[in-house]
Amino acid sequence: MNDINERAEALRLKNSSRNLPRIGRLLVAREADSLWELDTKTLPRSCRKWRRRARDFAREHIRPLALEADRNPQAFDHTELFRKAAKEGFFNTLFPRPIGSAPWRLYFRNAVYLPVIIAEEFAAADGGLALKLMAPNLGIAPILLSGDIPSILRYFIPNYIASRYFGRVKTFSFAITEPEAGSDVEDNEGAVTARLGSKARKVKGGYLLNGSKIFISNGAISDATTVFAKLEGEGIESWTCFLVEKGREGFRVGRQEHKMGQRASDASELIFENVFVPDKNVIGKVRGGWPLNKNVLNFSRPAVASMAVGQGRGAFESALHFAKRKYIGRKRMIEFQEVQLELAGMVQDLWAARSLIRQSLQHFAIPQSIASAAKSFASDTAWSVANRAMELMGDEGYLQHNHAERFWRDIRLTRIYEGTNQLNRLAIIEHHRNTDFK
Amino acid sequence: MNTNRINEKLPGKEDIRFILGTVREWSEKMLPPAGRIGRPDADRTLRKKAIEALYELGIIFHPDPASAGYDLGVWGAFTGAMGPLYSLRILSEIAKRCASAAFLVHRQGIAAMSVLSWEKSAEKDLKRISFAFQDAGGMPDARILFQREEPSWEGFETRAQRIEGDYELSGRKNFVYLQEENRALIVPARLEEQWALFLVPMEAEGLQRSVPGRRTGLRYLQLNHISFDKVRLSRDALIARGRPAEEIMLRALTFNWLGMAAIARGMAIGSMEAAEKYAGERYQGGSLIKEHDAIRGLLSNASGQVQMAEAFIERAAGMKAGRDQLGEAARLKLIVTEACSRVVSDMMQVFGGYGYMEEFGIERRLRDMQVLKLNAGSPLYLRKFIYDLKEDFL
Repeated sequence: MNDINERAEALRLKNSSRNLPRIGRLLVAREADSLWELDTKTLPRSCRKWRRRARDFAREHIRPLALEADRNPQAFDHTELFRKAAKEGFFNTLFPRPIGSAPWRLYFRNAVYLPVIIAEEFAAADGGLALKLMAPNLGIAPILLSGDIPSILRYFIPNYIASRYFGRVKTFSFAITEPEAGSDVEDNEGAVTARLGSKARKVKGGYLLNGSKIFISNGAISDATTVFAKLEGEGIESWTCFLVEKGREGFRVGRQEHKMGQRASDASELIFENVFVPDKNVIGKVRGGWPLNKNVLNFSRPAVASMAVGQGRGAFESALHFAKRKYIGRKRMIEFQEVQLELAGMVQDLWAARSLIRQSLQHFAIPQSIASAAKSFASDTAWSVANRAMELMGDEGYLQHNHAERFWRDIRLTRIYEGTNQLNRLAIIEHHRNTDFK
Repeated sequence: MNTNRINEKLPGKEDIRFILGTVREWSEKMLPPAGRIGRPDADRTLRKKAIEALYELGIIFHPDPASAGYDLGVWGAFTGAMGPLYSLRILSEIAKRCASAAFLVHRQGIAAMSVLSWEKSAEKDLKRISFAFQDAGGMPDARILFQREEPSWEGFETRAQRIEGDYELSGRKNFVYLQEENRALIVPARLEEQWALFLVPMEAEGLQRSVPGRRTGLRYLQLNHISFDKVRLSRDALIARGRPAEEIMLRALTFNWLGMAAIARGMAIGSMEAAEKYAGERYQGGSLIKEHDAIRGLLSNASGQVQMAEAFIERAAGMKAGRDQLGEAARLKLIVTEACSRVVSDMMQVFGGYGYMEEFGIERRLRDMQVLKLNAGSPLYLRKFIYDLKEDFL
């Protein structure tokens, strides 16, 4: 038996490759590094250290908080986590230096390259806390896309200095969803007939905002919110983006939802009752809200895809850890071929999803089709991976301290937000109908 | 049981319809509104009242001939003559609104069924009992279940030995679902290289309960790991040993899987009804969402999956418990829980963001379904079990 094992060991790719001639040896993989590290080396040089830092940060600061933040989200205090993340520069990755922390070279490849890479690492530790840390980017994105240089400089230079050097970060949230308009505000046809409740009325020096928004990630803890509202008496075409700071009279946080997962990040109702917003807080142009909204969603979909892959990876890692320590009879679970087949299936699915996301990052401006394909494919794939991870663990799979079930609950939301996967599939066709499918 | 008495009292279609109607009324009256069921802070008194009402209505099987649920409770005394279909329908009906309640009814029925022909049952308090399916090493595999000439007990820890005419029980059972104020457990154990079943009171000295941790769903019931440290049992705690014990275990396993599949079907139907209602009320793009192809596709697929589950379950109509049927029950649980789980997830998609929030009750169904899928035979275990069973009989 030992003889068979030794001979089989010598036949493994790693060992047999040593017997290749020198040139051959140079051309083939040596399997010396971890796959994660090998993959990191395929990233642009300026991105590699960020990925390593993000993983270390997630392991050290996110993972230990995950269970408690999921169990008692109301009692969870994010201040210290935010302070540490701010000092590391994780809140400023959507802007290049000196306004933000993204390296220029990377920024020229793609403005969301860095957040997308970081999102996976954070989410592999916990979906809810990853959302809490990543959602501020969503709130910032309309300001970035508005190209309004004075606003960008006014808000983000002080923010960058305060966060990097003092750990004090001002966070933003993004508010589009309304009680009567969920998918409507993410879909063209829907938007035309949407029952929009949030309205802005022009008054001297600004606008009076009325209405409410729901399911707003970080809505309760953000310092400011980019809110989309139509102008009174007009339709979706008049949608305008307003920056509303916390503390403005008439602006309050309403109900906080009890969610199935991603519980560490609040999903809140924001209520606006005659909130005065000065003209300078209009982001972009008046009636320029819809293009901002559409492009923010397109901008953020690869990041959501990356979070889904991260959460799927988290579920997979939980199952792997379990299979390595659990015995069935006298053998560890991982030694059974059927268990290896299950784990291998999860690995390959995650690779496929990650590859699609990386492909989307090859574009300087990510086309709608690829952003939507990445989001819907990655979230569906991660869901399937998390299901299989739990199945592998049997009854242990649904115990919270084994983590897989939390990732499973978290992932389910990635198939719904940023446009349901059904809407994202329609967005793929919307793109191609005027091009490839003409 | 007197056969004539059974035949006289066997319910007709009308009676079954009436009983199902009673269950429906109970659901509407006794279950808290969606969103509050299954939450850790759900009202315990309300929960207790709802279950007590099911005992009083005779829906829960209590193996006392004088009790309301003796004949027609789920897995009650008439199951042998009527087959399992009646019980499966009731379980599905309860599960449409609350899987946890259905699971409780089901597990009490399985435990009670296991002591039905025990001559000592009249002397015992058998209301609120549970069957401990899993040993420390997990669910028993086919090799352990069917002991051959060379017995194999690998990974099976719970054993009993005779001491001065009594028995001493040691070992551990994991993932035991208990009712509130659960009074006793039915514990399969190894006794002199044979199967034996014992009724172990919860207050027995040496019995220790531990909570395995917080869990995803089915929170209506308590979940414990239970260890037995030299638990002393009198000789009348032995329910059966040898072949009769093996047969009781086979029946318990077979009907357990059938019942779990029926609960999954009920949950799928319940979520489909809720999604259809929502799709008929919610607007998107100026029209009701039920007018959208994406939603129609999800609902149509769901109805197909449910129909498949129905067909599978109907096939079990005449099923008696036995070795041949065990494989069929395992396949049924494997396929039906998988299909119904997809249905519930798709129905959540119909609700969009609202489906993910507790108040609409869909997310709870999805969590409950996941536990149902993994408990007492995960898909991985069932796939192996089905194959091993086949090998065994080839």
